[in-house]
Amino acid sequence: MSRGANVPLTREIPGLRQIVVGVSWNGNAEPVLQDNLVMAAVLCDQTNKALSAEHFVFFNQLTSPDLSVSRLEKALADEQEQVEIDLPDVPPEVNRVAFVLFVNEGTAARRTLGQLRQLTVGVRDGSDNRELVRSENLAPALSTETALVLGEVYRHRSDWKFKVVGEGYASGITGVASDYGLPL
Amino acid sequence: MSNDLDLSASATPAPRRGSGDLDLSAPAAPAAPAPSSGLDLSAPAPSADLDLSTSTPAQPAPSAGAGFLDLFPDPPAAAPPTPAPGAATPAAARRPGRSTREKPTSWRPVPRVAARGRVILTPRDPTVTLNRLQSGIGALTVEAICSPAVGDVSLGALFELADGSSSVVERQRGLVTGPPGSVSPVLTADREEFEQLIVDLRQTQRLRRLLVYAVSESGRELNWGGTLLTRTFGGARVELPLDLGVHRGPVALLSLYAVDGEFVLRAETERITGAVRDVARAYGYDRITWADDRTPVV
Repeated sequence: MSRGANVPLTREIPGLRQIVVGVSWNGNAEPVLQDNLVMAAVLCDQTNKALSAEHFVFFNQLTSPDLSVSRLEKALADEQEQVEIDLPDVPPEVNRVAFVLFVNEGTAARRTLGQLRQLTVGVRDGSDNRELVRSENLAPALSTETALVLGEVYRHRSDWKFKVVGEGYASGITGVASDYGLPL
Repeated sequence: MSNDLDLSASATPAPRRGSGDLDLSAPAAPAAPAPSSGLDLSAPAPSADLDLSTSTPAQPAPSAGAGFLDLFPDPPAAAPPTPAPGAATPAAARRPGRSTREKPTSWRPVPRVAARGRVILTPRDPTVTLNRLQSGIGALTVEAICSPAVGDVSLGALFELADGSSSVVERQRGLVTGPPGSVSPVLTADREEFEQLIVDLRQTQRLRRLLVYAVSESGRELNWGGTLLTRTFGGARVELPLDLGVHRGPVALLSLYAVDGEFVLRAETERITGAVRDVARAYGYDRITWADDRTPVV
């Protein structure tokens, strides 16, 4: 899937309840960069703002308050990080779940996503781990960005769809937090 | 000694209005979820009524309940009568024989700091809790903003990691990384315009607690003033005025406890007699060994 492309999920696979969204990058990237890459899921309302600081799921906040979105402790199938969504359990006020990858700039100053050669986001059926869709390589378009909206799972009428976004932030997670109204 | 573990150490056994039995404003209390943390409450009553292991929600995942952990009940004078449901009950239930005492009647939410917000820690409001984003994204910086008039301030921190190990960072003693010699340190002691400590929040889950202290590099008296400024990655500020008067010896400034993924910051501003080793003793960092009273064995 290329940037901007979207695909219906539950309309194509009517029994689909649980999906796993995962990110994969080239494993031979610099260790300092790899150790500081963080995937997060943001549960957003109609206006595309996070419902609260607790609706940001990442390694230090493993689930959303409603437990519908969880970070998987161990990512499988050659992906470095994965987030699982139980679609029927997502509260009605959540309109979309955005997936973000960022460089934690605590000690990894001057590292950027542009240093990655390979970066894709994919969606799997949580019941059998079968890959449903995968994005194109998002890395070549990146340079000084330190955060990236990988894609989003969103409601469309009574169905769920997935879209590849690939939108980078030179301002990093600070810029992402500001756009989604997250207190940082 | 009274068995109900009144950490505020009131000498009178008479019932005290409002503040209740459970006074968590004592320094060590937020370390409760870490039973092996060298928690020294100086209370020889392991069977005390206050069950520290359950004073915070036990689940590792996020929980709304944590928002009601009242770390500093209102002083007796101000006692709004609305207890938060679920907050008072468990503590009270564990004290069946306490009917002569009033139940805690005042609870207020844990103070937080907003995005780009500012909180000043005071004796009445000594704590603030950072949310899991503020405790897990980017870095946390603690900076001692002191003019030269204070003296030769050296900033350091005692810390304890999740694996139980403890040590010290203090730049002017050559202890710049925690753990010592680490290539990806959880804690770094540094200096820009002022002395500062940096916590790498990608590794937030390795940190159990720390205590920020300051001491004169040359062992002189310091004439305290200035502010200890803690900054989140998003620019929120927690400020602690350093009005400690004139003191020879170290001062314990700020403690940080990782509680269920959130950092609880607490003003200590305590003058300690002796050296850094005495700060470690006072705050229960007993897994550090010392070459002399200010040099840890690393």
